[in-house]
Amino acid sequence: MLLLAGVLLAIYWAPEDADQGFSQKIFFIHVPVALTAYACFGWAAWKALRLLLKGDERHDLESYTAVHMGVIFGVLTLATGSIWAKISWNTWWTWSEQQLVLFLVLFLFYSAYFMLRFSLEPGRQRANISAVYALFGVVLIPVSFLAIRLAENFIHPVVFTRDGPQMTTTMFVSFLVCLAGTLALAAALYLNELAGKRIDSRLRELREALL
Amino acid sequence: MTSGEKYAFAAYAIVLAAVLAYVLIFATKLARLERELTELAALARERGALVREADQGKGSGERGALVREADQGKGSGEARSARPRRGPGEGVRGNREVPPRTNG
Repeated sequence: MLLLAGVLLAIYWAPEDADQGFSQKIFFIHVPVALTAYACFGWAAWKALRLLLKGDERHDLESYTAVHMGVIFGVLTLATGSIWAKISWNTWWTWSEQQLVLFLVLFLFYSAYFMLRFSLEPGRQRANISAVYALFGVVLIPVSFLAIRLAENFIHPVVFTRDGPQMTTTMFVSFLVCLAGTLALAAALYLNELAGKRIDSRLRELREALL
Repeated sequence: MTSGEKYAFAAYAIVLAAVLAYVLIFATKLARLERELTELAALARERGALVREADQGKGSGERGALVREADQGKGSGEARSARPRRGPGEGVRGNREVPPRTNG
């Protein structure tokens, strides 16, 4: 509901951008989805750190589920970004943009997490190796976020600067509602997925005990 | 509808489609879990009934036979694979279970 409210605010309440027109409305879904992907990867790293520090194996499943969610939101970021690039820059993708390439690297890095995880036998060793990998990946998040601000030549717009958000109040409020909506959606999907995986695991144990 | 509007709606539609696809996949998974749970509940009820019958037959010499029957069912019944649960070609791989190979 929060996301739906945000989308409605973005479309009907927030004013159209003077340069880009209606296509700038993609901003209200693209940026919150990208920030949610970062949040999921960050959460995965936090759970991975907890696993390595405390040794509690339930954090392994939580970290894995968070990476799973992050990759889904990563795909959506790339898809919505590509659509926005096509209408704004007349190209689906450009390799000259550090922001785009670094996000792709981050996405591919976390996609490889699944290959690593499923190539190992389940157990403590797999949990530890996956946790270390998830922790390494989180280093790429600030690099990806700051790359655009450190680069001098870019066409990717910077909205959030040291002087604050470069948009009107109505735009900023709509953006915040959209961000809250995508974060709530990610949290709901994460909890559902986690519950599903736990039930699956318990059922497997029960089946092994009974058969 | 301008091209800007088309692209903007396409971006929103992709997110909506992804969420719907996820819900569909999760619903399928939930249905599978429910089916497995029903099977396991039936199996547990069957085992419970056998144990109760064995307890009732205690003292009359039937218990030993019923327990043996239950153990035979556990060890070589149709529900159980001829191969061990965990082996080179089966077991748990990641978050999915590789079913036991069947002969032939």
